[in-house]
Amino acid sequence: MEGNPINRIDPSGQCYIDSGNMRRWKVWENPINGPCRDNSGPISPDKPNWHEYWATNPICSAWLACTHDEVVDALFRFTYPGQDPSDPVQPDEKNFVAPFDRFKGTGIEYLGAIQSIVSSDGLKVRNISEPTHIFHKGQVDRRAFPVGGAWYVETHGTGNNIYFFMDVVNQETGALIFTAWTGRCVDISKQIV
Amino acid sequence: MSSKWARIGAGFLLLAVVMGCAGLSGSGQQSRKSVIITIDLDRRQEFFDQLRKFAEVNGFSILIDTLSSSDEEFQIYMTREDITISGATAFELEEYHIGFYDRDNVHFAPETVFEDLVSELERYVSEVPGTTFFIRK
Repeated sequence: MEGNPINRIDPSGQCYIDSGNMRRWKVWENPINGPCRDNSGPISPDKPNWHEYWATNPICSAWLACTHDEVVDALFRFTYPGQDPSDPVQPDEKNFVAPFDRFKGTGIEYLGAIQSIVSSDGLKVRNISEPTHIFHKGQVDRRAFPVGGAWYVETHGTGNNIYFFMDVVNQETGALIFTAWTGRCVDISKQIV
Repeated sequence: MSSKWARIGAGFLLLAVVMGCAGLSGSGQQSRKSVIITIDLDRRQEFFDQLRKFAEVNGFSILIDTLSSSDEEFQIYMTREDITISGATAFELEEYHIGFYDRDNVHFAPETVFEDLVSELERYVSEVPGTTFFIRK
């Protein structure tokens, strides 16, 4: 079976129903695209259910004089919404965004499953939705950069959502959620100082 | 009308996330095995073909799809009833980080199954010239 496991397309064009957990997520399927449409291929504003948002937030004020390593450490601890800051992202770890992380062990957590990939210099992180994620397909790129003595984090979310209404939800909430999440990081940094 | 419901949904989700973040709950799911595969970009299609063969022989459904950051970056996702394999290019176009996971957080496949799958994957992708296979875990 070479096709998209979520869309259940095989090379012959037949639509099949997975007998495993995938069936449980059928309720989330996009009623416009239909359950058997192959959504693979480049993500694009020209495709249905596009979303894109940007947010730029201060992560460390100049007076705190954060070092490169401290910013990298902060980015590892505030990579995705709901992450426990005492548990920085690790290579090859599958993570679950809030609020689905609260349901670990039930199968529901996979509605928020992401892969987090960190660049070699540690200043860029990328959250990629797994196909089970309600915001699939999409990704969020976060980049830390200095301005004067301060550090900022730029968040860029993009994707063509395949699930019910999630493009609108993503568009409406994405920047707000990451702005709030970055604010929490700043609050903790100030407390440490 | 649909916009109204979408906004209600968005508000609900935002509230849920805020509530979810209020009580943080532990870590994600560790990979049972992980590998780093480096390919010759001129042979990427052959690499994907080998991944599809590996998936077919081992009973996985497979998705190979582009990331939104670039048409040259890819996500790889394989799943079967007990195991999920997922990975992506990691900022370097020729480098793929791939993790092997239990399908869920309740049922755990034997270690030997993972070891066999890693060996099998290495065997398949190593048939593509210019490929390196590093077992990280």
